Amino acid sequence: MKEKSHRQSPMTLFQKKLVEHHRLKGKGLAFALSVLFYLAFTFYVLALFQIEQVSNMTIVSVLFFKVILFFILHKRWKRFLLLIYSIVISLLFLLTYKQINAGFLLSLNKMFDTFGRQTGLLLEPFSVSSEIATYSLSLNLFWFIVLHVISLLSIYIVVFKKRLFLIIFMVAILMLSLFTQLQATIVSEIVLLFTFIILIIYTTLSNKGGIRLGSYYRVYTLSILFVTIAITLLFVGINILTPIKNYEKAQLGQTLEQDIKTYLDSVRFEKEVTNTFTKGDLNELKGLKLFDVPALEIMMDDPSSMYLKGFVGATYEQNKWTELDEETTYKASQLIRSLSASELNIFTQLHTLAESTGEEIDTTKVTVNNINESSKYMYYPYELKTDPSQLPEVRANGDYEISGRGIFGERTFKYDITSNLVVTYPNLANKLYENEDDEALQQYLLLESHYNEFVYDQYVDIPDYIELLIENHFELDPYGVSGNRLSYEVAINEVKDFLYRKIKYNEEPPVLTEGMDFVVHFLEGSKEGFSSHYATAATLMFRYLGIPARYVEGFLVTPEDIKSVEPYEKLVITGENAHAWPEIYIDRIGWIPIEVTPPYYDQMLAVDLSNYPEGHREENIYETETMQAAEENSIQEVVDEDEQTRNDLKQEEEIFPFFTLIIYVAIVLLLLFLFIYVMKKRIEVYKRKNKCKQTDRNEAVVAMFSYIAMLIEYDGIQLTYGPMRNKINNLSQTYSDEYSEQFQIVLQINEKALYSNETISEAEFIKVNELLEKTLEYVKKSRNLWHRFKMKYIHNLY
Amino acid sequence: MLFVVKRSLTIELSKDQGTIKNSKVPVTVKLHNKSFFFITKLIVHVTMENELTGERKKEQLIFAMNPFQQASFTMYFQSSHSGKVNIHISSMTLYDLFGFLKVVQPLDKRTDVFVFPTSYQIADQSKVKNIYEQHHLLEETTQRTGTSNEYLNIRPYVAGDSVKQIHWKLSSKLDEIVIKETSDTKGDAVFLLFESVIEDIKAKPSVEQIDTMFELFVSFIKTFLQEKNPVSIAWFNDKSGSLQIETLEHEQQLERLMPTLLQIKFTSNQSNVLQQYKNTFNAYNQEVYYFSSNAQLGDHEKILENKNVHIIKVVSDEKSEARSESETVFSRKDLQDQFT
Repeated sequence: MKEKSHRQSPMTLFQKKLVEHHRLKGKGLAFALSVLFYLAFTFYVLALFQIEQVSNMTIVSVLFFKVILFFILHKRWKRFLLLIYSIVISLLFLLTYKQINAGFLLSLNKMFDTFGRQTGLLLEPFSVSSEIATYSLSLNLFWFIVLHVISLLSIYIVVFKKRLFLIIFMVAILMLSLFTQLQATIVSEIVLLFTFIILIIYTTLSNKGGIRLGSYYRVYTLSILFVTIAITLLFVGINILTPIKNYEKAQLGQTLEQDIKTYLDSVRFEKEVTNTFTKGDLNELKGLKLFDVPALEIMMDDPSSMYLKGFVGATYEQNKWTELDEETTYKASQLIRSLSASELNIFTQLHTLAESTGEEIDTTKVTVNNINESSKYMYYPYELKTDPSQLPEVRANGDYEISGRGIFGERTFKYDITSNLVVTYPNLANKLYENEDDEALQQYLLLESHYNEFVYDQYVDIPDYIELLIENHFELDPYGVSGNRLSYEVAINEVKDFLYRKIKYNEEPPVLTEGMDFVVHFLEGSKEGFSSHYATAATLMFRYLGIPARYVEGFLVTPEDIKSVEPYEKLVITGENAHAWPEIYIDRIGWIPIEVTPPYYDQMLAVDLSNYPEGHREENIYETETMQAAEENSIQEVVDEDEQTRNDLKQEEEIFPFFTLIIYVAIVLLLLFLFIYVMKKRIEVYKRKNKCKQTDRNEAVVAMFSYIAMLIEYDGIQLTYGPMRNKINNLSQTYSDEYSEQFQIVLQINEKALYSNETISEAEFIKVNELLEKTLEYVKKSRNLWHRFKMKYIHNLY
Repeated sequence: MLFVVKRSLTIELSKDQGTIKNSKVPVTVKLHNKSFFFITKLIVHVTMENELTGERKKEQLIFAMNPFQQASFTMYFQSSHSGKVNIHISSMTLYDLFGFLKVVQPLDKRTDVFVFPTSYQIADQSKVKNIYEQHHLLEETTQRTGTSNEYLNIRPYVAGDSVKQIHWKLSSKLDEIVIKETSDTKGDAVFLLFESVIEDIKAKPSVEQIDTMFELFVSFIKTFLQEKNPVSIAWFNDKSGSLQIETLEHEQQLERLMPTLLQIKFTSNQSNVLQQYKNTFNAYNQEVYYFSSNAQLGDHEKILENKNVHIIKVVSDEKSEARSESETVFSRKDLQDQFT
C-alpha cells in the first residue's frame, strides 16, 4: 500500500518497509486484548450483579466465536463458518427462546435483588414462568447470547481502536456503579481497570494517519510491563497499609457523604423549622425548642388522638439513631412484601389483629396535609388501616418508614385508621389468646412468626458498653431468677420508674462534651434531658431487657387537641406537638408506643391495663404454638426461600449436564473442523512441494518460480502488476543486490521453461532451487517465532 | 510528566542533499528521549515545499519511544517534479502515556532536498528539433556568406555578454564597456529566457507545466553547452526585482548554478521576462529562446516579428496549437513520448 501511494503522489515522505513485529498490527495481540477485555468485563458484570449461576464453560465457549473471527483467515471459509455459526445461534435462539426469555427475567430479578440489597430499594421482580429446575439452564442460555454481544463489543473496541467509545463505556460503568452503589469484587475491579489502562495505551499507540516510526511493539510491551508493576506495587502497598479485608470508608469521606446527603435532604424535603428534633442525630441535639408554627393540618371524620410516626431509629451508633442499613432494609422490604401478599401488613398490624379477633372496628378517614414538616415521611399512626402499597404516592421502606415517592417527597396523604388500638392493645392480646384456635388467627400467628423472627434479629442489639452501663445503673437482671424475660408490663414500669427517679426533665440540658457518648453523658453525667434523651435511654433499656425497641420522632395528636374539633374540621398541629418516644414490639401484637417522658405521661390516653396478660406465659405459648402451627399448616403461603433454593439446586444439578454436553459437542465439532481445515491446507503444501520436485524439470522450474513469487508477494512486494524492472529494483532494496541478480537469472530460466522448447539443464534447476531456499530464508529471517508459526500453520507457506 | 519529556526530547534532521526526479533520498530524523517516561504518541508536523513549483504538502510523523531511547528513523523522500524542496519541522505535539493530555512545542528544523531535473537531448526531439536545426542552419549561412569581422552593432555591455565580444578599444575610449556584435557572435550568442513572471498570481501555471518548462529549459542549455555553444540565460529574480542574466560556457557552470535555478520563483510583475529583455537589449541580434507557459502573448506580437525569437510555449493541454511559425507548443506528454 505504502509503495503504491508514494508512487502516485508527486511529493512524498514515506517509510520504505516496516518490519512486521515493530507494528501493533498483529492479529495475535488484538485477539489477546479483546479476549482480556471480554473476560474482564464479563466477570466484572457478573460480580457486579452477583449472578453466580453463569457457568465458566458458557463464558469460555463464546471464545470460539472470537477465534473464528480472528484466525480463520480464508475469507470463504470464514464466511462459511460464520454462516454456520449464525444459523446454529439462531436455531438455538428459536428453539429455546422461552428459556432465554426466562433467563433474561431471572437475570433482571437477580440484578434487582443485588440492587435492592445495596440500596434498600425494593423493585418488583418479574414472575418467571419456567420450571425452577431449569433456571440455571435458562440463565446460561441467556448469557450465552449476551456474551456474544460482549464479545462483539470487545472486538469492535480493540480491532477498530474505538478509544472514545471505550472511555464512554468505562465512564458509564463507573457511573452505574456510583449511582446504584453496586460493587463488584475487588479483583474484578482491578482486572477491569488494568484492562482499561492497557487498552487505552494500545489505542494511543495505534494511531491512524501519518507516518508511524519507532518500535511500537516494544514500547507497548515495556509500557504494559511498567503499568503492571506500578499497579501491583500500588495495590500491594495499599494492602500493606490498610488490608483490603479491613477496608472501610475513610472518616472524612463518610462525613462528607453524610453532609452532602443531609444538605440534599434539606433542599428536597424541608421547609420552615417547627421544632429542634434532629431525626436521630443526637450530636446535633441542643435544647428543646418547639415553635408555634403549623406543622401538619389534619382532617378526620371522627377526631381521635394518636401518635404520628415520622423518623424511626433502628441502630444506635456513635451518638446517632440510624435507620436500618440498605441490605437489611431490602430484606425487610422483601419480607413485608411476602407477608402483605398473605394479608399481613406490618404497617397495619394492629388493625389486622383487631380484624382477626373479630373486634368491632371504628374506621376513621384521615387527611394529613404536611405544611412545614419533612416531606420525606408520611406521618402515620400505629392504628393505620390502609395498606401503604395501595397509596400510589408513597413507598414503604423496610418495616420502619413510609416515604413519599416524589423527588421532593409528598405533602398530602389520605388514609384510614382504626381508632385507639394503641390504648386497647392488652384487650386485643387477651382476645388473641382466647380465640387462638380460630382459623383466621392461626393464619395471622403464622405470618407474624416470620416478622417476629426478623424483629428479634434487628431490634434487640445494643453496644456492649451501653449494656454494661445499663447493667450498672439499672440493677435489674433482665432474665430474673426464672430465666424468663420480664413481662411487658413489668418491663415498661421498670424503665419508666428508673427514668422518673434518676432523671430530671430539662429542656435545656448541659451540652454534650465532644467525644463523649450521648447515653453515658445522659445517665452518668448530666442526668437531665428531654424526650429525645428519655426515648433513647428507654429504647436501649428495653433492648437490654430483651424487648425489641426503636426510637421514634413524630407528632402527638392529643385528646386535648381534638377536644373541640368537629368531624371534618381542620386541626392544625404545630411544632409544639413534636415529640420523641420509644416503641416496643409486643410479640404477636405489634409495635406499641411507650410514653417515658414524665411531662407527657398524661398527655395521651392511658393504656387500658385492666385486662393485661402475663408476660412469661405468653413467651412460652408463643414458642410452642408457632412451632405447632407451622407443622400443622401444610399450605405454606409464605415461601421459605432457603429451602426452595436448596430444592432448586438439586434439580438443576440433574439438568445441567445436558447443557454442558451441548457445549462439549460444539467444542469437539469445532476442533474437528479446525483439524480438517489445517489438514487440507497441509496437503496443499505437500502437493506444492511435490510439484517442485517432479522429474519434468521444466514444470518443476515453473512451479518453483510461482512458489518464489508467492513468497515474495507474501513479504509485501507486488510482482504481478506493472513492469518487472521496477519490481527487481524493489527486490534489491528489500533483500540484496545479489538476490536481485539471481532473481533476474531465474526469471529468464522460468521464461525459458515456459515458452521455449528447450529442456532446463540441471545447473539451471539447481539455480532456481537455490533461489527458492534463499527466498524462504529471507522471508523467515525478519520474523519472530509467532509469525513463523503463522506462516507455517495459518498461511501455510511452507 | 509531559513537561519533563518535552524538555528532555531532542529532534535533529539530516543535512541538505540532492537527488534526481522520482528517486528516493533518505531523510533521517534523530530523536533522543532523555527522560524516564514512555512516549506513546509524539506527532511531528512536517511541511514540504517545492520552491520552484510551489507545491506544498504537510505530513505527520508519529513516534513511539521507550525511556532513554536514542534512535534515528529513516524515511525516504521522493518527488516527481524538480525544484528545491524545503523539509521543515514546524512543531511537535507530545501526548501523555494514555493520550489524554498534550503539549505543543514549536520547533524550527529544516533540511533542503534539491531535486535535479532530467535533461534530454534536444536534437532527438521532433518538435524542438526544428528550432534547434534552424539555429545550426543560420550558423552555417552566416559562416558562408557573412564576413565575420563585419560589425552589425555596437551596444553597451550587459551582464551575460561574453567577454570575447567586448570591444576593448572602443571601451577604453568611451569609459564604458561596449560590445561588438558581429554576424559571428550573433550566431553564437544564444539567449534562453525563462519566463518566471506571471500576470496574475492566481493564474499560476500548473506544477506539470512548470516542471516541463524547467526541464526543457535545462535540456536546451545542456544541449547548447555540449555543442560548445556558450549560452546566456535570464529569468526574473524575485528578490532583486530585476532580470537576472547568467552566461554559461561549460556544463560545470550549469551544475554550480543549478541550486539557484531550482529556487526560481514564479511571481507577478509589471513586465515579463521577454519585455525586460527587450528593454535591456534594444536590438535582437541574438538567437532568443523564450520559454513560457503564458498563453496570452499580446504585446509580444511585435517581438515575434523578429524571426530570431523562438517561443517555446509549455501548455498543460496537449491539444493547443501553435499560433505562428516561431511558436512551438509543448506539453508534458510530448516530453514523455519523445524521450522515453
